[in-house]
Amino acid sequence: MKFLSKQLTHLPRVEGHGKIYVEIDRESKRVLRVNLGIVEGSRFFEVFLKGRNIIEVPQIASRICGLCGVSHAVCSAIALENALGLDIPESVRRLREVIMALNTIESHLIHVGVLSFPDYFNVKTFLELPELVRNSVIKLIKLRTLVGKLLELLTGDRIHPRNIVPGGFTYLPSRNKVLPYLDELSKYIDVLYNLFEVLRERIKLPSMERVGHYAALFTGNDYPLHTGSLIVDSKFLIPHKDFKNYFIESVVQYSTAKRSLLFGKESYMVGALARLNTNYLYLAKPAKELLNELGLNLPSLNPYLIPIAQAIEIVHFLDYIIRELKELELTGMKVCPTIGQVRRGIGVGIVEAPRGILYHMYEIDGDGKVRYADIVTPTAQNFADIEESIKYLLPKLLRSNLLVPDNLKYEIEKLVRCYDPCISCSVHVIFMK
Amino acid sequence: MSKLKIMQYSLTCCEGCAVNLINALASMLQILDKVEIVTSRILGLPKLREADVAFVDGSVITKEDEEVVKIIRRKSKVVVALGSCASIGGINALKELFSHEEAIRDVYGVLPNIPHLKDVKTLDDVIDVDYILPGCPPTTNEISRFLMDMVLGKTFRLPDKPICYECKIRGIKCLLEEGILCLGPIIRAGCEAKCPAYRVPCWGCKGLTDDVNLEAFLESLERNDIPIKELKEKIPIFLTKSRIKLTSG
Repeated sequence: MKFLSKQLTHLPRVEGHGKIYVEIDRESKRVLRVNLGIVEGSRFFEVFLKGRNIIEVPQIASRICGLCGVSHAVCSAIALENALGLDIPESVRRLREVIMALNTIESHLIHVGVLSFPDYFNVKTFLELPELVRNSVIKLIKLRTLVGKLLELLTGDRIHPRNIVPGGFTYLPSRNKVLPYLDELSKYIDVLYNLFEVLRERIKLPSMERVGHYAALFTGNDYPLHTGSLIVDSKFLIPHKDFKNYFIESVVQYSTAKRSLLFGKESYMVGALARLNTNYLYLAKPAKELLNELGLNLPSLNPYLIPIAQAIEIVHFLDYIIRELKELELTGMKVCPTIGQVRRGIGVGIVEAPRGILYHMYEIDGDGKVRYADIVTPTAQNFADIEESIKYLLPKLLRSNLLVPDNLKYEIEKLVRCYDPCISCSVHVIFMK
Repeated sequence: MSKLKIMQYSLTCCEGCAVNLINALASMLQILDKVEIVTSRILGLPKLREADVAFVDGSVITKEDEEVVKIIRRKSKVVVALGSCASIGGINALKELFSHEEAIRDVYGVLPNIPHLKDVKTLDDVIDVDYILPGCPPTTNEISRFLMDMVLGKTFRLPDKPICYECKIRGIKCLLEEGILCLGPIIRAGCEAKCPAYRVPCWGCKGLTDDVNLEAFLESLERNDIPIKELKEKIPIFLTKSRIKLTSG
């Protein structure tokens, strides 16, 4: 056999169904092909969103993902508000940011604790972790339950939020129901800080200094999740409406998910590490301290640092949420928003979902119904970058005698898992005119 | 007592039901030593093993989905269709309102190399199902109650009351009486009326009650000046595959 072909199906500890196909020339050890294919069926959200009333869209869009439903709901609400030319109050904007931050923490906690810790210790599931680490993971799970309950209180459900609509919220709980959570949450900042400190001693991160691009939202004064401009490599600003002209999508035969390339040519990274590269100056104090302690050299495109970037973000957003909710007056928003005059229009929304840049675009008609919908998810944008990382890693693995097929498979899986891919989201990604 | 072996498998879906199953387990630390998760790809256990209870969420959309659920049936004593997609069609079935070819052309422009079925199938379109647990997603409380019944060897029963019952006992103001179309009177309870509690009308993710009094429901719409046209638009969100057909009006 001249080629070593290996197909890894149904990646464990990844959300959704993916497979990787690798082809290597045995003699020259040259990597001939790396394909990350998605075998999950399409659900056609862009098709059946057509004709729906705009008030229903955020709730339907949230059903794209069971891990980041909040991001899809908020992103679609923003896109629709832009299409309508609807201004929203500052208080609504601030509460949306808090809700996005809660969802980010919830999603990161499951990835950092349950899905990626086992890889640092070479075990299959978090249940097999050494006792000390397993106890830490249980603390993370407890924090996640608490964050989930607060998210449920603020939005009606922790998986698919109910009260997010264009213009604001249909309902909000009273402030005295929210406040008890804040004391509980603040206890966890020290717990997390110590936990990540301890883990640093035990985790040896492989270096991987590849060159490439990254994209994130940027305001220049905070660490944004749903405001600001889109910026590439912390240098080039891209207007929201031109998103599809810069990040060009294509269909590949081996996957049900589309993929995006910068200028249609180069891969780029989105997500926690891209955000940290872009906005680390604006981290809250405890998160900045953790970053300094960990001694990360930024900017970096080393995918093994993604779970670490997520850990830093957990500390940052926890601090942020507590500060914001202490200040925010919820009662003023407790009204069903009125959309007012509906008009024809096109609107774009771009937010930072837990896994990175999420794009929603809608065209609406004069009756307030969707005529056209287009969604680009973070994982679809990361696919090409994941393939590039595997191509970079493979020759090194081959040289280091790791070519026992099982080891090769495991190392590749580990690398892919670092990206925290969310495959359910990415499978229904594109719309072609 | 031997441990209850649990399988979790996600077909084509958002996996929110799987996340809520894990949330339910995380909140029931008292029964954790009575259960053993034998299969769950997301938790790092991808191999399909023999199980006492298999929770399957999502829709059967690809040929592979169809093959897998047949294997799951063979390997499991009890199969549960978890969530709206697996049990009643749910959001995924909205695609049925469009032609398969139109949908593919719209999304991809070209046909990718994927063995898609033409129809969106629920679990019981393909295999025998022992329990359904509808909801988008089912609440952690309801999943916990189900798990507890399984651990105790009891038969689980879905409530056969409508959502209105949940609203009444929780003191939630009726949206229908404000002229807002809400499917509460014809939809199965069990969700704690999460939507009406946040002033969002019921879209029917739990499916219809066993005995739907459609006539009385239509009357109440008329009484509250809600045009039946609106009902026709709302019904498909979760109930594309349900037995209700609105032919009149």
